[in-house]
Amino acid sequence: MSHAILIVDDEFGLAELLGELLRLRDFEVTLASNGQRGLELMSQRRFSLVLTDVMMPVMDGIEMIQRMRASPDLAQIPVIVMTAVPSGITPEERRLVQGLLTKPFSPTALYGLIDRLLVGN
Amino acid sequence: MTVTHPQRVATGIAGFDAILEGGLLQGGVYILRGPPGVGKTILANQLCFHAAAAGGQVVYVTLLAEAHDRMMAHLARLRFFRPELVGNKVYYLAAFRILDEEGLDGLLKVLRETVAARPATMIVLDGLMTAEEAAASDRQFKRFIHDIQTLSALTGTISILLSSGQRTQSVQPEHTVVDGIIELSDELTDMRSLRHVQVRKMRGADQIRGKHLLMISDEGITIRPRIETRPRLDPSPPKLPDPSRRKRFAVAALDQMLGGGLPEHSITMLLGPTGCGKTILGLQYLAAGALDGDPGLYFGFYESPPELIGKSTRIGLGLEEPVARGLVHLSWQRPVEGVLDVLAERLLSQVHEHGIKRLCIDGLHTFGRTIDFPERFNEAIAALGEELAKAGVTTIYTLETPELLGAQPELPLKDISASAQNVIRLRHVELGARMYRLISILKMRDSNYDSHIYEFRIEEGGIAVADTLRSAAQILTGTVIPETSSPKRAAAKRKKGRKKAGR
Repeated sequence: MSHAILIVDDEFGLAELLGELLRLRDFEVTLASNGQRGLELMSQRRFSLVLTDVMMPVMDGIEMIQRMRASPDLAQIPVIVMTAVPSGITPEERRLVQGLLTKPFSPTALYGLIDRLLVGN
Repeated sequence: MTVTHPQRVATGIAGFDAILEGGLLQGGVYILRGPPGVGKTILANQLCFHAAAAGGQVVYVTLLAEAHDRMMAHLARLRFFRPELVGNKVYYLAAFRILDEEGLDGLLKVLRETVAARPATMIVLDGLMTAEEAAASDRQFKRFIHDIQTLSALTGTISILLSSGQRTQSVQPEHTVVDGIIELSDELTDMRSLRHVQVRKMRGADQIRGKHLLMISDEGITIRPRIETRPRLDPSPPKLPDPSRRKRFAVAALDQMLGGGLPEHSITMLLGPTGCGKTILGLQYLAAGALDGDPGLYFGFYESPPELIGKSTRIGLGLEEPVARGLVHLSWQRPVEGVLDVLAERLLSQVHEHGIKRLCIDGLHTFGRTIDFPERFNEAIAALGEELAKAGVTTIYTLETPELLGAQPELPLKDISASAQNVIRLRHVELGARMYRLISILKMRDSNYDSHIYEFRIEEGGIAVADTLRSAAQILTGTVIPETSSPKRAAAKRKKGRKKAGR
């Protein structure tokens, strides 16, 4: 059975591209354009992993992760944060996530991290 | 918050990196455009092989009907081409059929799959016009470019899109999206065809704008930033002319006219018609420098080193010995096929290599004829002068004037005298069925000089300048045959002059 991955990114082209790259590896992909929409989708179905941007309108990635960690249903879902500015993530925020990808990153790095997290789960 | 800027990746072409302020941005998308035959494919392949040799992986996607083996056959003769990297680090992918059958979406899918399969540091898409023709609308084509940009930005891949760029539309939709536009052109100047590169747009860089010479040889592509841009590449200040330190000619009367010689680090224009003695005076300047231990360089176009040595031997300038021991260098350039930026680079390289202190560029007019765009000439010569002054060189340019006899000199190059601090004029005067030579100083910036006109002669034993005004006055007024016309007397004066000058 393939894993379901949620991509949360306000940049549609990037989210679509990531989706394509993950579909090439037979993952089932769903896209959300901000943190609030991401939480809504997570309340409707179970995801194996969340891949999220940080800065987004309506609700940013950090707030979405904090709410996930406060929710008994979502707290265990592994999260990967994608950012061009890793120094903008505080150590406390870093502890809330399982992976950090600094943009730009190669598909190999993305696949490697996802495989490690999903195998671990 | 610290914002990280994308890294610059060197292209491996020194002149190109200088123009681009360091190279291409990691994750950037660039359009490389120009008419067929201008060198786009060679440039793109050269960038690929450099990236691969540096450890990266590159993918070269062709959207052309042309088979890869034909392109390879052409590339194989170029030195940057390394067959062992093909298929290992440099992948060629023919996507013409995919584009034809599945359109831009199919092409994009292939690109994504390719990048997913192997982390490419560079992708080249050869045939952007073909992709554009396959787009249903401008909007779809712009979206395609945007998708490539997203892919590049996410993965840090540099994407280079090659276009034959023949559309008449001045602003093309894809140009607003990409990070840079690099244009190659092929211009006809007189009967010569010269290639140029121009960086029209470059996000995140203060590129050196305008056209720069691009040449294709067995080495591949070399790019030479216009000589005028050198001060920007090396902003260190030039050494100013120093009137307290002089470079003598070792011709007593001439050195006296000049207040001891040419001010150190200055530039002197030696003006005069053909045959008036400009080259001899230039060689005399270098021979005098050898006596003072100054490394010298003659950079000329018409006379080869053996001819110059022969001339020196006949007249007795004494250049043979300093040339033989490598203190004075004679550099001959063929006047037919040079290009100013190449010649200037060669000149500066010789100046630095030999630690030149005295330089004679014989034939500024010929030097000027090698330029691609004549309107550049004064700025180019001024920039060259600045580079020479930075290197601590005291320079003489000879410049041939069109008039053969007397009267006012006509400068063949407009406003060129402004690029020299000193101007010395040589001329012929006809009198009593004989030709005489006169010398005078037209200007010496910030320095006292003798503004009178003197007769000078070139004879066995060297150059002799009359030590009185009398002969010149007689020649110019046509009154009497001058006294220095006696070879014996002239020789006696020269001997006396040399003794004074300490030869």
